[in-house]
Amino acid sequence: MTAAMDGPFALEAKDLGKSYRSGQWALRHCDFTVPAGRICGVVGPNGAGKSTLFGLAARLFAPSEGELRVLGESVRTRATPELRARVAHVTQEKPLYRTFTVADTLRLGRELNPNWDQQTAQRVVELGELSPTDRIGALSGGQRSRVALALTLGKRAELLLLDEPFADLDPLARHELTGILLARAAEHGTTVLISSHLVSELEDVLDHVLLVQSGGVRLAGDLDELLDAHRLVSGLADAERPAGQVVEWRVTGRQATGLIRTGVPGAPAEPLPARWEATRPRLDELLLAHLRNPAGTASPTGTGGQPEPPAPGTESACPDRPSTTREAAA
Amino acid sequence: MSTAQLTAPAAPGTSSAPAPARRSRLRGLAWLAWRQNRLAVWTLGGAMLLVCAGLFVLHWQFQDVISLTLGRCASASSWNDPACGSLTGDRGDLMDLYAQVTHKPFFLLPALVGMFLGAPLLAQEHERGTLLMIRSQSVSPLRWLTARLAVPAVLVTVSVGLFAAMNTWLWYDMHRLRFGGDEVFPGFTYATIGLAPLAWSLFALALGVAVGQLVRRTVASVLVTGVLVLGAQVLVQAVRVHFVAPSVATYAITGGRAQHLVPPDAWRSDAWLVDHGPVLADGTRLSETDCFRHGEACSASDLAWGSYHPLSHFAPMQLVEGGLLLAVSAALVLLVYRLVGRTAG
Amino acid sequence: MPVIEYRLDRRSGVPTYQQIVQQTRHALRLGALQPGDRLPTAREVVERTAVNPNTVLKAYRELEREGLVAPRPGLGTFVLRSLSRPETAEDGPLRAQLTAWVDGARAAGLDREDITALMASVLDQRFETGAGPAERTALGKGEE
Repeated sequence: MTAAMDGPFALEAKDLGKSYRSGQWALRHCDFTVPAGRICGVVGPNGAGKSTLFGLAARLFAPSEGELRVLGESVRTRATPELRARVAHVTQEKPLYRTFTVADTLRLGRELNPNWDQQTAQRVVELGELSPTDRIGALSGGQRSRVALALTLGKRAELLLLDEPFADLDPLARHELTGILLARAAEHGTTVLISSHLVSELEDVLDHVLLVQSGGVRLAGDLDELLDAHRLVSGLADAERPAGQVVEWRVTGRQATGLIRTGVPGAPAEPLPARWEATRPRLDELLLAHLRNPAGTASPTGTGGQPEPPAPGTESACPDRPSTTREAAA
Repeated sequence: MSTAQLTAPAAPGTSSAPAPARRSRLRGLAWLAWRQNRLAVWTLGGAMLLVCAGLFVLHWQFQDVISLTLGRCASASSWNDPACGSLTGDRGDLMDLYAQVTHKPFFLLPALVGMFLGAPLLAQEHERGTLLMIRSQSVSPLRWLTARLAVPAVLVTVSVGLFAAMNTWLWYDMHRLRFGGDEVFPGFTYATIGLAPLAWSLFALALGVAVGQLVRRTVASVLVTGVLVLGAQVLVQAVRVHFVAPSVATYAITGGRAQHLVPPDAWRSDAWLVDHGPVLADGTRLSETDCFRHGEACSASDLAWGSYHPLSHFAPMQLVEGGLLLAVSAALVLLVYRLVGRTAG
Repeated sequence: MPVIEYRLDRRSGVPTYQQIVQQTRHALRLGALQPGDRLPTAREVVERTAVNPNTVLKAYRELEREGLVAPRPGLGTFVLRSLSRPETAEDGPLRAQLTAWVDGARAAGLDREDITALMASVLDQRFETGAGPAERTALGKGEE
């Protein structure tokens, strides 16, 4: 298992918070780490604070409280050009100069980035059958996303912050660009943060997950460990409930199904009571169960559902969750 | 497989002509700043070159008239010279051309610079989010801003400076003609010769950039900038008279009524009469318009006074005004730097 | 040009790294992969399949542990031994016996599905391991 988390961290948040002038907290009391070299999914509903998290990591704005270290450097320190070259960020809107041609846009990348990788950038563009002379303003949303990704990948950064990078791309383009992205990550050990709604498509792509909800990080950790630490159980509703912290519990007629957290990752799972069937949840099953139950645990009405302390480094504590949040309107 | 794809990129359907070869020698931010201002350079620079060429032609036409006026046709004996007969008409035509072509439209030059060069500069970057894209590149946003501002600033300095020099030269032609039409202080002329066009255009540029940074919407910034520049022009025109202390002359009345008299120097077309009127027996200087309140005392006065700006005040006045405008511009640019650089550099 | 291309099925329920392991073993059995062949690099697999690089590395480590492949630093991962057995070859005696048995089953009126079910049932009984859907019950713990 790739559980060794003691390596350098790409991201390290301690009690991180960001509020807006209106006094609302977009993100608060967040503690998590993302080890370097991970492909980390940042998932959660709209307005949960994902874009704010990306903006903080990209130094678009400073944290209101707490600390965030990006590639070992606090985001409160002044960014040097060397530090800028190490982080690439593409926002959800994927802004580009509309009057520029595709070639102009890639040249912008080449002129402003010391480690520019023209080959990769050009390849991303050419796979989309874009001509260098096409104007950005005349491209479709998906084509623009592709050029924005080319600009980001060409930068050859150590940390990529991709906010909904594939939202308006067709499945073929998504697959192809994910492949290029992962290949680069495999080659250079790049850390990638991807926020996306397309969770089921990401299961094979990710190896780390941050679940952001209502301005807090609810779940953070190695994907395999998280999945191993949960069981999707089903059985008869009146049977003795399996041990573990109940994330979700649903009873339909005589049948009960639920998602149960079985404690410390890596430790052997306790044997199931008789007549229960258990499977390892898929990523989307795990995330949806957590998202549907924002309080953290379903009401432990049944037997045996004793809550366990969160495993270190996997569950993030965000006790004071703000009532209203919004995405960064940068 | 993948390496093969790297070397032989498939480009079906698209004419993948080897990337456009006309590659400028500019590098880094300089290239970007040039690329972003290319249209403005061609438009404003081109328009100003055309205007200057027109002014040069006008100036060239003046030379014949001036040489005739000051030479062959200067003496009384030239009355019968047919060339001199038509001179009055020629002068009139040229003066009209000068006044119509260069004055009123170019009064608006600073406002146009502010609206179409200054205001969209940052407003558009904010509105379209491209500032975020720039901040994701490996350059400091402040260095980017410097390059972004430098190109339009140089463009304005060169093109408007050239225009101002040409127009001032033309004014000097008028002045040499001694035929009137060489007034400098009325708003339209004052704004188009000397230092004023340049100082005002740079001010409008800085103002537009600052408005764009604050408003962050292109159309709104353009309108606000236009209103602010024109408002500032009206305001400064009202207070300009105080930039330099006017000359004051007192003189005895030799015939006629004191309240209508004007100092002889202030009569010149290139001077600016600020105020004038009679001086009462107790030494009070009355303005001509206040005279009626004093009845007899006023009309009985045999001393008159007048305050005015002679031509020699023109340069200091423009220097004071230009200095003020450039100081405000510098403050505005500083503000923009602070706002852009505020968030974590 | 890599000698093997992985086809990964997200909906199969089999963990992706196991699919890579199984497909590699399958290719070794069929002789599509021979000793000395270079497996595609993680980068190449990742680019074609868009799966996490660690998944590919995990599969390769598994194959390495089984002694099927070995990495040579800077060169890639190479096949050490083949899984193709003479018994399973076209002209092997076991294959001949099975062919005869299948012919018998068909003569007895069983169709393809019946035969497959029967085979699976017997295999399960004789090997006593989970297969198919039961694999998910293993909670991914057992294999590690």
